[in-house]
Parts: sequence; structure tokens; C-alpha cells
Amino acid sequence: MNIRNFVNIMGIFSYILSRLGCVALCSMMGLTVVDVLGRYVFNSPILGAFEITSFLVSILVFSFLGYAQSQKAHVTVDILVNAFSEKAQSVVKLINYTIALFIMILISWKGFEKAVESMETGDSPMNLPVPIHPFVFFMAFGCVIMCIEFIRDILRTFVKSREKETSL
Amino acid sequence: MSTEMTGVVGIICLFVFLAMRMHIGVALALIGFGGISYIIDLDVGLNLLGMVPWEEGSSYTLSVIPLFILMGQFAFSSGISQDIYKAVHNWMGHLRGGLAMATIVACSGFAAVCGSSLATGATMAKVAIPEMEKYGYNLSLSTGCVAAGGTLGILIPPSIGFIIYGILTEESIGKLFMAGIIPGLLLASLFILAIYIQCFFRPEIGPKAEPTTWKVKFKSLYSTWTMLSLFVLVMGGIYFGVFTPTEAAGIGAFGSFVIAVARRKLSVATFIESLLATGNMTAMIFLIIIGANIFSNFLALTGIPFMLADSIVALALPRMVILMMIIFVFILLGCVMDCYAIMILMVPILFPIIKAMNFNPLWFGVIMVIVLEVGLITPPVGLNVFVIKGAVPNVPLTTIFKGVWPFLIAAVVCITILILFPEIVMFLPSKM
Repeated sequence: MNIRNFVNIMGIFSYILSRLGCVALCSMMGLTVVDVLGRYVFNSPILGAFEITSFLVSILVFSFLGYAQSQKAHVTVDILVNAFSEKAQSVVKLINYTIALFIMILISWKGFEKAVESMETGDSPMNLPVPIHPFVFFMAFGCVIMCIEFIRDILRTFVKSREKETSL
Repeated sequence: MSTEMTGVVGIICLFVFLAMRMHIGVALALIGFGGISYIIDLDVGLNLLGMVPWEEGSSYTLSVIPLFILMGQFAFSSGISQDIYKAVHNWMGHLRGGLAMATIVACSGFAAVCGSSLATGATMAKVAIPEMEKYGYNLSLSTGCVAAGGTLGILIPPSIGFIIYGILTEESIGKLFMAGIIPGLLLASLFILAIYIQCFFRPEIGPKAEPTTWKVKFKSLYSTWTMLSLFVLVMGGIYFGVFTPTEAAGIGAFGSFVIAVARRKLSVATFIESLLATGNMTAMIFLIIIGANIFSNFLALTGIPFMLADSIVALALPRMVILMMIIFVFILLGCVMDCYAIMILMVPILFPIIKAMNFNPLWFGVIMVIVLEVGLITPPVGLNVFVIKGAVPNVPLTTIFKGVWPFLIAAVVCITILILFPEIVMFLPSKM
């Protein structure tokens, strides 16, 4: 299997996760509407709506980290680098992606540790008999998917520069 | 190396990384992590990396961000902007420069359901520019007024800018929203005045359209009632304390979803597109918030924000001079950076100064948002201008920038008025 196919196939993770994030977003909207209606119309708010919303936020955010990276939605400052030569630009890109990968690996690692810790202590929010740790695991997982996206970007810079050499 | 020195080195490194086009969130997290590990020890730094993403990423307060973005996205897909524009067109089109004025009014209307300047600019560009082209409007005027009108998106509530400011400073988001309404209308009126003055001296740039009958006028107004009532529901709910901002955002998103469905504009594909766009923007903002939180832990440790505040107070300069300096820094950053990133980065550093100088935080928030809007339409990185350029690729950037400057003057006039009469900002929130 050549690198390019590998890079393309690895994109499946962030794609799937982003669809999960869409579901979380819709549920979040639905939940607030039902909660407000329940409170004012039927006089019975949803118990733990606050906590469920926070969980849904975490699913939404961490399921989209990788996808946003694949769509290049994250903000960067384009002022200096645009003036560089193409080769220098790809070197800068490579350095950036590697540093970003490094910091995301640390965050994923520490996230998993935190998840294990929360599993052992059995943390759960006050109004809801649901443990927190699956969501913390999901956070770490989302960060891992973002790492995969950075790896894809790093590999892509290599593929691109090699293609240019062969075409010359 | 002393702690303060470490802080200074950290800030310098941050700007170097940003200039090298690193992700803003990643750069902030990296410097924050490195700095804390250096000052205390590695374990503390690593622990923060595990803790902050979870705390920020599972916060109920922050859930207001994706929901308001979603509301704007659905409004964007619903095609309501066409109706708003058509209605205002019928009322104002027969005036000299009337279509450009109509664009500003329509932008304000759309901004009332959409909290993003870029979305407001993009949606209005598609509707308004072809119409103005049809009547032979000068291209600088037509593109410039859409770019400028789009910036009303983050001033007129709901506003993602105010939400982020509110979260960073622990000010009430509801009060910030209310504070933005009158200045938003003021700025819109000044934009219209800017168009009037230009067309007064050069009538050829904004020809009149044919007048319409009263019947047509009122009929077209009818089609905009759904969005207006959604705005009243969401803002009224916040104003009278019926909902929290998060609940209002959920209701607003659902409302604009229903409107889009009722107008038969929401296919499955556009529905998913709206969700994906919202998710991407959410992830981007949260990554910056997470990074900024790690970074500000480090900054607080170095004591730089407080030192900065103390030394600026010790300078005993007039308050207005300090305000001008802050505005200048924001404009400078606005030329090269995204407006949300500037806010998340600078507010924690500058807020101690604002407090020490006794500026009202709501009032300062409004001033800052207008200043950041100016950044959205100034070269070289006026994002809104690029959005307009994306919608009309055949118009050169210089033409758009040329059309923007009368509106920049209007924005400066607006800021001056708000500085001289802070009551304009404080009137609505003080009644809450």
C-alpha cells in the first residue's frame, strides 16, 4: 500500500467521529428545547439537563477536533510565511505539524490517565447516576484522532514534495 | 532566569510561533505548558495538560457557543436573507444609494439572528451584490457596504464575540447582548449616513431603483415576521430572565431550524452541512480557549498581567490615553489575526488594567467588539473582505478595500460617540 492511500484511509476516523458530533449537537439543541418547554409548559424540567448538556458539549468538541483539522478550520496567522519560498513553507509546515503532534500526544496521554483515575474513584455528577469516566475517555480518544490528522498532514507534506521531484 | 523574565520570553516565543503559522490554540498550549514546567516542574505542567481540556470541553457555560453558531447557520441556510433584503429594497430602493442603504439595514436584520460577521457578510454578498450590479452601482460601494454591513453580525446580538468576552471576564452574557443593541443600531445608522454622503457628492455611484407601491412594501414586510419574532423571543427571554443564555441559544437554534424547514430550504445535505460547519467552528474556538486557559495559568504565575496593570496605573496617564493605547493594540493585532483569537488572547492580559482604570466592563466590551470589527475590514487580513471576495471572485481586492474606508470613518465616529456618551451603551443593561 503506498503512502497516499494510507493517508486517505486514515481520514475515516475523523469523518466518522464528526458525524457522531453532529448527533451530539442535535441532541443538545433538542434537550434544551424540551427542558425549557418542560419547565414552563408542563412544570417538570428534565432532571440533570445541566449535566447531560455538559457531557454533550464534551462529545461535540472532542469529536470535531480532528475533523476541523482535516478541513483546515483551525485558525492560523498568515502574514510572514506567505512570503517564504514554497520549499521553506513546507519545512515550516512540517515543523508546525510535528510540534502540534507532540503537544496533542501529551494531552491524549494525560487525558487517558485522568480517565483511568476517574474510573477508579467512580466520579459522577450530583444529579445524575452516570459515571464521568467514559466521557473523559472519549476526550482522550478525540485527541488521539487529532494526532492521526496531524500524522496525515505530516505524511502529506512528504508525498507532495516527492511528487514535485518526480515531475521535474 | 526570573519568573517575570520567563513570562516575557514566553510571550515573545508565542508571537514567533504565531508568525510561523502555528495553530493559535496549539501554540498557546505549548508555551503555557513549557513555561509552567520550567517555573514549577514538569509534573504540574503535564497535569494541567490533562485537566484543562476536560474542564473547558465539558463546560455547561460554554455550550452557549455551539448553539448560537448553529442558530446562525440555520438562518444562513434558510434563505431568509433574501426576504429581508427584498423587503428593505422595496422600502428604500428608490432613494439615491438606496440599495446600499438597504444592504446595511438587511445586514442588521440578519445580524439579529446570526452571531457571526463572516456568515452575515457571506450571505448578504450573494443576495445584495448582484442586485446592486443590476442597477449599475459602483463596485467599490456595493462590495464595501456588504463587507462593512457584515461586521454588524458581532455587534448586534446574538453575538459570538460578546459570548466569548462574557465567558472570559465573567460578565453577564445577557447584559452584554443588551449593551450591544443600541450601539449596533447607531453604527448601522452611521454606515447609512456614510452611504448618503458618498452618493450626495457622486450620485452616479448609487442610482435610484424604481419606486414600489405601498401594497408591495407591506406585503414584503410580512415575509420577515418569522425571523423578527425569533429575535424578540430569544432576546426578550434573556432580557426578562425567562431563559439562561444557553437555553435561549437552544431555543433560537431550534426556531431557526423550524423556519428553515418551513421555508423548504433545508435539505438533508444542507442540514448536515450546517451541523458540520458549526462543529468545525466550535472545535476551533474551543481549541483556542483550551490553549488560552493553559497559557493564562502560566501568565498568572509570572505575575505579568498584574505587573502590567500596576505599572500602567503608576504612569498616571489620563484614562483616555490608556484606552487609546489599548484600542491601538487591538487594531494592530486585528490587521493580522482572527478576531476571536485576539479576544481570547488579549482579554485576560488587559482585563486587570480595565478594572484598575475603573472602566465599565460592559462598555469596554462593546468598544472592543467595534474595534475588532474594524480589524475585520482592514487590510491585509480583513477576513470579511476575503469572504466578500470569495462571493464575487471577479472583483479585485483593492476595489473592495477602496469601498470600505468610508465605513471605517463611520466606525471611528461611532467609537468616539460611545466614548463621549457611555450612557448609550449602559441604557438597556441598566434596566435589566
